[in-house]
Amino acid sequence: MLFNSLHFLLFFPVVVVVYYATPPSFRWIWLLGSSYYFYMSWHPAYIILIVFSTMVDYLAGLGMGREKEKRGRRKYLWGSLAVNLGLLFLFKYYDFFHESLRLAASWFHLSYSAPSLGLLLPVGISFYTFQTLSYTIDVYRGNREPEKHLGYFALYVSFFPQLVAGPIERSETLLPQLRASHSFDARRVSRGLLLMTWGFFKKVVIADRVAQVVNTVYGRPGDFSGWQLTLATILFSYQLYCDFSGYSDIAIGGANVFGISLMENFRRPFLARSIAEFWTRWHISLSTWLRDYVSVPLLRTLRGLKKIYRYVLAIMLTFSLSGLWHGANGTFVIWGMIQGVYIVLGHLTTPFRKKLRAKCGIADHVWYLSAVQIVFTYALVCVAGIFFRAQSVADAWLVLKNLGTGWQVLVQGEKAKELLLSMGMNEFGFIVTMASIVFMEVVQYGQEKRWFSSPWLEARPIWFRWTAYYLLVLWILLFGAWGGQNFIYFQF
Amino acid sequence: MKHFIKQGLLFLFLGVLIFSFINDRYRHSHGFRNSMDIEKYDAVPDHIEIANVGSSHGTNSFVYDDLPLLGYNFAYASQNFHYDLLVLQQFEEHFAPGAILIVPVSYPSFGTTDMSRQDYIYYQFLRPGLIDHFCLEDYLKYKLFPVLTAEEKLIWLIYDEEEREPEWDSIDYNMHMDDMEEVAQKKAQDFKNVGFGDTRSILDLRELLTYIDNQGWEAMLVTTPVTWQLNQHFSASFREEFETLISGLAEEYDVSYYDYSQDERFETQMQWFRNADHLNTKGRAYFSEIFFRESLTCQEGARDGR
Repeated sequence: MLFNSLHFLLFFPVVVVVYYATPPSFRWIWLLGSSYYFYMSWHPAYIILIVFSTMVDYLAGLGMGREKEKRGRRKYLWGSLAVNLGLLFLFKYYDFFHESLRLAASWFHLSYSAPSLGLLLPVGISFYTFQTLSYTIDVYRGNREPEKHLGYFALYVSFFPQLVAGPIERSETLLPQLRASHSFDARRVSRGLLLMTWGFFKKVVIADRVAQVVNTVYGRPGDFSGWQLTLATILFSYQLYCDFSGYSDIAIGGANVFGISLMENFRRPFLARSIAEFWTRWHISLSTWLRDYVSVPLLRTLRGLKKIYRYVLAIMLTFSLSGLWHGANGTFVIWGMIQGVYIVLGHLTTPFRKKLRAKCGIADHVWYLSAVQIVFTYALVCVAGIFFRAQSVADAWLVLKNLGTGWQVLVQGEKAKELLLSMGMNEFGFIVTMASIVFMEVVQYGQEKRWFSSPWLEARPIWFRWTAYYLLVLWILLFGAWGGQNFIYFQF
Repeated sequence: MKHFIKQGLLFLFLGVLIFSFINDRYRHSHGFRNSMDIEKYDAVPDHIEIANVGSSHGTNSFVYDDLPLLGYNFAYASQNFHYDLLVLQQFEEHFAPGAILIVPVSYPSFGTTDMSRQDYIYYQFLRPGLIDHFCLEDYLKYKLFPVLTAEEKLIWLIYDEEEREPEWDSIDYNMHMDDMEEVAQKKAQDFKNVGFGDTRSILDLRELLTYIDNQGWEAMLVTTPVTWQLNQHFSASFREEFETLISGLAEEYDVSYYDYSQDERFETQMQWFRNADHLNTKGRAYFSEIFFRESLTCQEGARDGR
């Protein structure tokens, strides 16, 4: 069941109405049932996986709770890691590694004949696996008590608004909220609905429209010249952002309607002034997860090494893992490694850049420096994005290689227009898309500068608010691409 | 909570009202109705005595104005045999007993099994039960709220088109000879790429002929006129193969088959065509006159013979 489907449009209000009509102590049953139904609408059989994962981590948590010493808890942790990562490997990575081994074997003229499994990737497996792992690791570390109520724990693993694409929640924030009794709060509900609407705008009007161009160009990159590839790459950055942050907005807004707060997952990432800052604004729930459960432990483990080597190794490993988390494909691994290189280079050149700025007499926060940094960071994000989007490493190289070609055509107005319209979108589509992106950026810039926000809107007279709501909804209805396209992050 | 629900319902009610108004305005715009040929299926007469189905070769070949029989053109651009059948099923109540059904057959008729690109058009006039892979979301999008998929046609909300006759009855245009050559070559290549031996299409045609027979109607297979520019791109053996296939089917189902694809009254007479394989308005009238004269005489002769 996609958020942008009729099914969800009927499902969500029913769940909300019954939720508030049910006595608080029974609400978890309703939410759990609804979440399982939501998940089963994709592939009923895969509910077994999520239930199995839930049971394993629930029992591992209880087992660890009985152990006073960390050493005693370790076996439960390893058990949980083995099962969860084993399932993830089996469903997501087995065929990738199998194919890589087969290739390697053929290079060395060795025989290799293991069968490929061709299993269908269960929706959201990477997200709920990381979520349950964070619980088990926290219990192991003694950061939280194990959850004794199986129902609440199962709901923590499967809470439908964030089940298939996050935000990846921590047990210490989500579980207490699932246990708490939430009375109906009109302001909270309307804020939630508004955030959901904003998420739909990003997804249906921008991401799904832009997808037409991106899919056309990246489907056969050899047919397009440099400026077209550049435009498609820029548009892809918006597609990815609007698709994923749109999903997150719907998830956070949807949870808000139930009185539950989920963590912020995106904070206007294209306004970041460095790649390190970008990762504090983009997919925040994953980057903080990786920081807490991968980077920091790695830095501790590598204590014997020189500080700089430790840092480089930890960053590179973390971001390679981040790439691999996104997908079992060389392109994602390279994308992750590029991010790692960016951060390492950024870190290493910081003293030099500081000195240079001081020499030139440029203060740290002057607007033109910020503007240059924002543009440069965005360009770096786009370049890495080529590997994220390309269907293969060869395609990504082809795009990179051709980026400089064919720009001269831009001075031939008519010819350029003809080529623009050969990119999978008509004139109307381009106008609507560009207008929507500009509108979104203005709103987001206003939010960044705290010019407007939900409380600001709530303080306006009713005619103003309702007009704004109607205009937004009409924009979605009239200019949305109603093809029911999947969310990009569902494949991860 | 009560206040919120009241406000929410009012908000929803007003929203529905605004959206319905916009949707309704769009649905009733001339632009929308012209583009979908809605009129064509809004006013299907009763007691139809003769009709044709088919793709653009059907829409551009038959006019019934001068016929003493009540005729109707059910053809639609790119419509395949399967959809011919569905359209007939939708309107079967409108036919007189023993009606004559003209089924145009040409090379491309056997290649258009994939209708996914224009399936949505049929949501406009077929009942849900007849639509292949019926989907409620598509029904809402295409039938009930077409403004959702209007795209650049939203302009009709502000600047509506003039009311005009459906496309299939209004084009009076001659393609320039040079363009005709080019188009013919391209079309011939397209037809060859598609081929006419597609098994699915033949099964669909068989199903259509069986249905027509079961309804007690009489079918006629017709290959409509095309230009020599198009014909020259097909070898004699290609045409013979096609001829054998259709004649075989005609014999098997005991229906008549008329082949005008190389008829010299049309093949070299460019004034009758708007492009390589479609007649223009004058050509359509001329062909209809000839075809009905010849076929109906034969049909009567055959009936008398029986």
